[in-house]
Amino acid sequence: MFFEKLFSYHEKFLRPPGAVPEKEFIDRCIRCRKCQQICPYQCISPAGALHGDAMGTPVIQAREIPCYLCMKCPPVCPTGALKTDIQKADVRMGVARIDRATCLPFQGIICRACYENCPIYREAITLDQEIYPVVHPEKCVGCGICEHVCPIEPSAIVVESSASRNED
Amino acid sequence: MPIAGVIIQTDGNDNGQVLEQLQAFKNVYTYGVHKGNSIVAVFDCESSKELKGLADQITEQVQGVMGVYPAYVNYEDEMEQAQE
Amino acid sequence: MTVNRRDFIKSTAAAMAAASIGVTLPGTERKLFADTMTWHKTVCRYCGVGCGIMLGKRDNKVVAIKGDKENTINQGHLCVKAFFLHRVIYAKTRLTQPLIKKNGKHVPATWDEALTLVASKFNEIRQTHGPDALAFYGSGQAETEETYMANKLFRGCIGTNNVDGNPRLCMASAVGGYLASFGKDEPIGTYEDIEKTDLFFLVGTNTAEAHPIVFKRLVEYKNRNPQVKIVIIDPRKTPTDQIADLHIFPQPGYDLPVMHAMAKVLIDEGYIDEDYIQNQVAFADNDKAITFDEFKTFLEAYTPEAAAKMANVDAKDIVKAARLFGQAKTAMSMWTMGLNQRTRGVWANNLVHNLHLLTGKLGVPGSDSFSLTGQPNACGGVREGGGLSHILPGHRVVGNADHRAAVAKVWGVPAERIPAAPGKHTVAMFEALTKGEIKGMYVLCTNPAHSLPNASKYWPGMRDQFLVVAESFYPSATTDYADVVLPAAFWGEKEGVYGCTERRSQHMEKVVEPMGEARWDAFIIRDLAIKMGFEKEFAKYQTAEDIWSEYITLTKGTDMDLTGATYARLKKERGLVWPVPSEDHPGTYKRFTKGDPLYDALPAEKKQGRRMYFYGKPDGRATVFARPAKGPEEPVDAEYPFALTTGRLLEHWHTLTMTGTIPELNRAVPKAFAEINPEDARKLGIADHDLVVVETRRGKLEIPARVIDRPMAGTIFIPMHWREWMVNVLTIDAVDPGSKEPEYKVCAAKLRKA
Repeated sequence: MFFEKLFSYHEKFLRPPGAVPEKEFIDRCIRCRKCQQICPYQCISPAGALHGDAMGTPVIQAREIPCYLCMKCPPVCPTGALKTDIQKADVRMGVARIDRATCLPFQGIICRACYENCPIYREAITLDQEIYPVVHPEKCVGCGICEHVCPIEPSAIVVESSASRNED
Repeated sequence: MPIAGVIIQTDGNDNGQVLEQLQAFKNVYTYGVHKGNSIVAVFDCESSKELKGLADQITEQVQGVMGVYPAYVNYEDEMEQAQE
Repeated sequence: MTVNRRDFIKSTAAAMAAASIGVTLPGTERKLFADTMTWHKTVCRYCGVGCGIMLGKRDNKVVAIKGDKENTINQGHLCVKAFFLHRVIYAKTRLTQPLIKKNGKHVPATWDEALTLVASKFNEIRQTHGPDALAFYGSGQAETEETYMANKLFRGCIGTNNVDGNPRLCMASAVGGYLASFGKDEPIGTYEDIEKTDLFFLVGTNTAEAHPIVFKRLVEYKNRNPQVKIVIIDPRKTPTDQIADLHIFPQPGYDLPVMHAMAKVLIDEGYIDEDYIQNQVAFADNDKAITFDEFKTFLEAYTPEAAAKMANVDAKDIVKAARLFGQAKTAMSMWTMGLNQRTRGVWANNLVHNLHLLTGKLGVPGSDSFSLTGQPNACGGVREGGGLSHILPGHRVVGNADHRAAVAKVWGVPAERIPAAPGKHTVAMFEALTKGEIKGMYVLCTNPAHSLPNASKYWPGMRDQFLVVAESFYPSATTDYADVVLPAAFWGEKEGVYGCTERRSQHMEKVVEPMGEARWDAFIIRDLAIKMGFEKEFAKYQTAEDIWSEYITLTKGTDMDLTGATYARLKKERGLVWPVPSEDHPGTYKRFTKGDPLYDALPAEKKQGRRMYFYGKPDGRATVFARPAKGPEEPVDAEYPFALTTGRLLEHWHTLTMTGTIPELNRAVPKAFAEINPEDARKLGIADHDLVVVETRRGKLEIPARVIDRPMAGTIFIPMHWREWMVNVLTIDAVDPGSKEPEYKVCAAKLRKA
């Protein structure tokens, strides 16, 4: 039986790579969906009607489809809501956080899914004692691939969006 | 219908008062105060979402509560539903 | 759900919460045991490590799984695959009724129809074309009881030695290595050596992914004891790599000279144990006995510099590896497919054993030359149970008349029924099927259409001849070609014994009834045998214990004596490590030395001055072999400049019939990929996730690229698991002349962007 995840992040939008701070993003984004159209992985979808003034803005639901950092979307943004000149390693969409109460290695089950799939390989996620995953926030780009691949339901590793950090 | 075993940590000043406030939640069962500031409790909920809400609510609304820490969750009903 | 059940869960939840802060709630403990959930002891269905598992059953359904804390191997821990294993029982792909192919389509049939058809077809083939026109292809995942029944039917009743199985594809070279070097198959020590050694020598093993629990024990031990050294020889950087003190990356297929050079350094720098060599070691080349001096002369060609050139590594690293090995008080070598799946797999095994024999790092706690096994019962059912074309139950060989007579007697069949010549090994068997020399084949619990090397070459044979497949899952690459598919009970639905890597036999409980009309493989074979006219030989087997109890009589007095491992005892114990000659015997930690009942029983003069006596050898001496260096069968060249290698991932297993049914594991790794070194990717303009074409002389495969510095430049790695990206259409079916194991691990390939 798994542990249920009771405490988690406040659900804030994960924005495409290169997004400017959230308030400015909402202002700049003209809901043109160009980023959504160019994404080869179809990871970007528009926010729904319930989200008020954020409706129509691009959102990544990493658990469904994460950002694979192909970096095709920033250059097509016509309004600078996504910074065009950003490099893959400089992306800061958010930071992954591990819930040790559910993460399998902390329960005695060997699993390396997040570690193995992290695109900033062996840097953003390392294994403490070669068993327990640790996120290094200074390296983590927040792409959400770890959140996507985590075999536990709900994911024991979740990206906390930078959108919320920018609001603080 | 998940059931969670949790530790509700209090500031230790007035545990009686905290217990009293917890009585108001109909799906919270308490099992005594231990080690001065830890209340063992069980949440009996309809969904995982409700569990999370309940924990947030208690943390925010009940005076003297420092945090709610899950120790065990049984959601075998949910799993069985998922399997079928 | 009843109110009582809910109340029970509540009190459990409260007790668990209280326990998390070290408090016991009054009255909760009693209620804990009042749960309707019962726990049942079994063994993991995946790799050969042999982890203990407890299955939780409620209302006749398996609902929970946990590691068995009392099991000495895994002490309650599991890997992520095993954590979801209980749900495979309820996979949507479970086959629940027999199928017969009619007009090219599988249609449901009754058991009687299906078995009658198979029996009449097999009898017809046997009468018209002789017994060798039939074959059995088994599995290292079948229980010992299942393999035993198939062995008896095919060898003892039908009368053919065409009995082989997928361990030929994974363990045969280790068998050959052990037999040649030590005279008896299987390791000398156990996992206990892990926590006693000073140095791990890991060759051709991605332990972290293929044997996760062994890796966990290894890293935890190293974390507590930082002075413990880890030396790796492997052409690929793997997760295992992270803990290495030294990693040598030879060109795939060129590690033999590296190990020879290590032996040379050990001798030249005085790290050898002269006394050990003098008393328990002999030397030989491929044909004859040689002297130690002649062996030294042989090694002159393998200076570290010369070997470094052959393997394309740094000579200083070879010297360093040898010194680490020599300086360590004890050393434990582990290897798996990287050495075994090679056209010189037996030799490669011998060369690891050489290092231990030269330094006397053998037969003492912390020292062993320890082969890791890929399947849960390759050791138990197939190596010990005699499930390969040249062997018989109880470490016996087909070529020995006394051995055949002993087995025939227990089986109640005429000794002359078992032919004296070995049958066809796996690749030869499928070649014969394709040529039409074998006309009927029974495949049990394995998926050769996916797992054979150069697989597509063998599909026509499976399609054209009469193919019977007993499987728990449908469809698979192999069932597509089957004329009859028989639904087999899965793990948890049947009782039996698995024997793991460390000579440990463990009992698995039957927890629930088989799904639908599925039946236990051993009983399917029994009923088929009866329909074929062998009622006298098979009617007596009514339980799993009937079969096991008969089997262990065939081990009495052998080096793998299981006489003391009765069902009554196995049900209680967390396995027993053979030899275990009597019910009061605790099992044996180290073979060929004090404490091994066979060693202890030797006359004093034989043991005189010898702490080890290799009783499988006429003179009791193990052999150090002067095996010439040899590269892969298909070296890279200008046209095919990449070395292609294959292997496993942590999350998946074999051909995905099990792990592929678990959404959580598919989420972790949803599809195959070709690992390509960044340097190669840059040269070829390949980006991560690009589709690439990998092509060999046998086939080509379009597959997404994973650009990562794991394979060294010039090599490509592709996992073996996916049917849609079947890497075995590329691999080479050349085999080791000794072990007949194919060289999955190296072939030449070319690569381009799709």
